[in-house]
Amino acid sequence: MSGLIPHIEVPLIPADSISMLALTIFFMPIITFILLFFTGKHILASIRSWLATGVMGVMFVLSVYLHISIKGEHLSRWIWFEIGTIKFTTSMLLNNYSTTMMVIATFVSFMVHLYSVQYMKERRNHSKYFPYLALFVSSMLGIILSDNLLITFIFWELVGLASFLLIGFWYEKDTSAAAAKKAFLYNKFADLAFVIAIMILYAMYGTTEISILKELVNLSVTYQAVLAVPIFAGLAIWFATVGKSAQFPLYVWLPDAMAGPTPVSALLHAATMVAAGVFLLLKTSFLLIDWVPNLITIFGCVTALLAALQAIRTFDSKKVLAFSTVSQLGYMMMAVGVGADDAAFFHLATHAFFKACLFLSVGAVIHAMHHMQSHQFDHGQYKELDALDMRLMGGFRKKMPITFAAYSVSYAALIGLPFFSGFLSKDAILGALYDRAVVSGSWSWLIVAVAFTTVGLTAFYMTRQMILIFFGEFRLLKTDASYKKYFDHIVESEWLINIPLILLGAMSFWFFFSLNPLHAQTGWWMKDAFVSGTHHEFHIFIPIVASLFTLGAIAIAVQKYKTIDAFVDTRLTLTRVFANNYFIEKGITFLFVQPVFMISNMCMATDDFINRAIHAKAYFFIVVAQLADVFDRWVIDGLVHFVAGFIRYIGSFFRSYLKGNIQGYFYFTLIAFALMLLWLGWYL
Amino acid sequence: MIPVDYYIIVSILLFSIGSAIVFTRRNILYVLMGIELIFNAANINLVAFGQLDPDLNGQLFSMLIITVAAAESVVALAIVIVLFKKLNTIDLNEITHLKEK
Repeated sequence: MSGLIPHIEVPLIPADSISMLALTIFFMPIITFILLFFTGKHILASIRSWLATGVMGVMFVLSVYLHISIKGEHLSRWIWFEIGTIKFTTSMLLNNYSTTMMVIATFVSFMVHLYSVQYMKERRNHSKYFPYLALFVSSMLGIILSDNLLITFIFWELVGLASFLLIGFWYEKDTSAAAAKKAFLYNKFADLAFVIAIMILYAMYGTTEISILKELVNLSVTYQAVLAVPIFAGLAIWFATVGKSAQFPLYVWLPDAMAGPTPVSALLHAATMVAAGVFLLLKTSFLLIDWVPNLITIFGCVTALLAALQAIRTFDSKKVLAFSTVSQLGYMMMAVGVGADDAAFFHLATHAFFKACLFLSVGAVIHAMHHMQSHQFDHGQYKELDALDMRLMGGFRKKMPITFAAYSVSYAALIGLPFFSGFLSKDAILGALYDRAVVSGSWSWLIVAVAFTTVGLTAFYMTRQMILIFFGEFRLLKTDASYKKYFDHIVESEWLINIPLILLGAMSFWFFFSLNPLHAQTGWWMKDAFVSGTHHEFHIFIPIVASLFTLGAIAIAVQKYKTIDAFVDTRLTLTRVFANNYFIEKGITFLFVQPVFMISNMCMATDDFINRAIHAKAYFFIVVAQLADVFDRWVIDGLVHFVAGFIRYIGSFFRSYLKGNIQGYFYFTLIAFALMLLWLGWYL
Repeated sequence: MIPVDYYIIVSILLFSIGSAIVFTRRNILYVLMGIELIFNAANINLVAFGQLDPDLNGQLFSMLIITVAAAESVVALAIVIVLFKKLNTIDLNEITHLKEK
């Protein structure tokens, strides 16, 4: 079977200067992490946060330089460790694709760091926050740079660890701790598939180097060898990304992960955690052959639709954005499924910027809500207040104009209005889906229909959120008028919060990605960033239809929420389905947890039976031992005692002639000696 | 060369004197001295018969015995001191502790 596939040597390639620069960028946050993790408590908070932020800024500048100066591919590979004659290599691949992702990741991280300096200043447990962020970023850079599945897996797990630590950052709150645990477990479950993929590939091809695997798989395809191996490996890797990139059955951890600090949510949703899954899938897209891409498309489509529907009924301002992320990830997966890798990566990039901006601007509003709450507290009137609830917000447009501007720009990008980045990337994905449907027909048209519907749903729930947060009256006053004086004092946030908002919001405009505002195929991004995707024909009707859907949905949303009292806005039956995540968790409990409990109960019963048998056996042996004991005591010991007693009796008979006088012993000795002499004389 | 008979007579005499001391005296120190005499009686025999051996092994062996006897008498004297400390006597009539109680 493997004889058909020629063996490919794994050559070692020394790192050139560009690769060394990339390694330097990669190690900078690791050093920050180690430094701040162990000494953080002894350094002033401001120094600590500015140090981490400064390092991130330097990393961003270096990444940009790296991206500009790179030409072609730079592959370096060296020996990681040896076991006997088996050499494990590790490698780093630099190309346009990975350096672009590095620029995105470092830029968003830098913005999030700047934002966090102000945001986390007044919050608890500060000393571990920046080291965890650094760990998060460095793990993501590891995934981006590594060209070896084993190394990628290590950083994959480290991303999981860092997200666990950051989601559960306020672990005193039960919801935070539970959300962190949930995220960790869902991810671990999916990561098992990654391990399986690595095992399959290593067993079949004897290497985990992605670029070597790529050649081998392509050879397998040309030689018509058994394709079950790449198919199942691809399936397993896809399942790993289902966990990390929050796809349909396993996406439920992502909305809960909102329990973490808001800047962390921004980072998690934009550049690090969920991007890692799509990024890995793009990197290993050569494994996705045969029926696997169709599966990915279907699951992506289901994810996009279900999450968008849930977002419509959610009142938690951050959860709306979380569901929106899940939905957009569904789009990316659909694009991967139809082979439009470049469109998927394009959407990943644009989404990173506008989603980070959305999170940070909503975070600024939440920041203001918290301020009001703590003012109340200062006046001795602490009141429980859900600062995330959109039903209690409203009217922030005039209070926080910069935040509102940043929000509305990235809102426009997310729903895909013309002249914004989301329009270009969503158009690319929809175009790819349409092209695919033209070729394969039948169910593919359903996918296209759902994709367009989801465009409308996206516009609807985002408009709803915008109206609830920024327009109308401040509805908290309706329940509690005592907040009036604090609301009057709300002003725009500090500049450290506004600058990241402005910069990220600016990235939502079209000209960063393509000079033609209606169409990205001719833009530099689609040409240079990811050179592998197939070129798609531009269909003018796709953006027009999508825009019609968007505008229609906006009109409906405005009509519906213009005058509404948000407190009435609950339709119980629907909300219950959505609040339970379509009973996915219950399903998982029913399908996996309960059978495990059942098996464990059965095992326990079996064990109990074995236990009883062992006990019975033990009792039997105890009875036998008692009998043996009696026999031993009376018969064997008795004989020995009898002999000993007899000897003792003789001895004491002779001893009775000695009175303890030393000279008496001499006499006896002498007599015995004389007797011995006599005996000898008698013999001789 | 002095015939061996004379040596034997001297050694018998020494042995008898030593035995008499051991059996009759009540002072433990005298008893020890008697034991030394018995030792030396045996030594004289060894030396006397050792003359007949061209290798003089017997005479060399007697040197060894003298050394060991000296070490033994040290141990014996130490025992006597301990006995005196414990029982406050060196009279053999009073030291009857070897008897089984």
